[in-house]
Amino acid sequence: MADRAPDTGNRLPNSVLAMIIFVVAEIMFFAALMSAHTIARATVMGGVWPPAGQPRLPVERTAFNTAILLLSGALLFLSSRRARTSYEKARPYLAGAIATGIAFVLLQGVEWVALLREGLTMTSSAHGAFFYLIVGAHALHAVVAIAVLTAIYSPMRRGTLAPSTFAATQVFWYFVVLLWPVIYLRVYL
Amino acid sequence: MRTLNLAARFFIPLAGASMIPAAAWACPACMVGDPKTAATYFGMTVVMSSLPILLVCGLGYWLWKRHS
Repeated sequence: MADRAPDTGNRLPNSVLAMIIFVVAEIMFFAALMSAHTIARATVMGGVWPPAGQPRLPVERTAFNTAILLLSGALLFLSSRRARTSYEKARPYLAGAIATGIAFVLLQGVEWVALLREGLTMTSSAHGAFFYLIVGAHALHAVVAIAVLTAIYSPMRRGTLAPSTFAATQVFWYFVVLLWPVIYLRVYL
Repeated sequence: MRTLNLAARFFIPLAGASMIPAAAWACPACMVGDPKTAATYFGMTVVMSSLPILLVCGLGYWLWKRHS
């Protein structure tokens, strides 16, 4: 049983490079959504956003949720540092990253339910459409990333996890984590 | 001679017309509203045009630095 991640030297694994290229494409996807949102915001009648009569977004609660997601990213970073010496030491941090990631998605779900009850839907206004499209696209990415993090937990426990797989997963989770503050600043504030 | 006439009748005026400075009428929404809206369109055009170049060049530079 391998207890320590093998040293790959300075060579960049193909899986990591492929993930970086994929993330670059994803950045362009979210940039297009944010660009459309920015223009819709600028062209709204009266210059007030959210438009009159539309529910206000829960800024404070989402700030707390943002902190949870950033904590998840920090835990994964600590896990990768520990994995250099031992997968055994890295495992609790990975479990923490998964748990905080799940907490983020669940709190987002609670927020969505509250907003739907207040009347904010995809078809209620451009405000609602952009909110659910941008935040929903991010949530979908978060769910997929959490599923991948969960999938690598068992191989890490057995000591059979390939370091390149762990590194590629980290790239994707860091993208999901670091994208969220940008979305929060543009959509919520 | 006939080719020259065609050029004189169509292409030279067309080339001249294309040089007339004017607003971008091809974009039906860019100039609507106040100047702030036009500034937003301009800003987003700059961001969306430069972002892929920056990303690809940044990745290329990072790989070059890593392997040189």
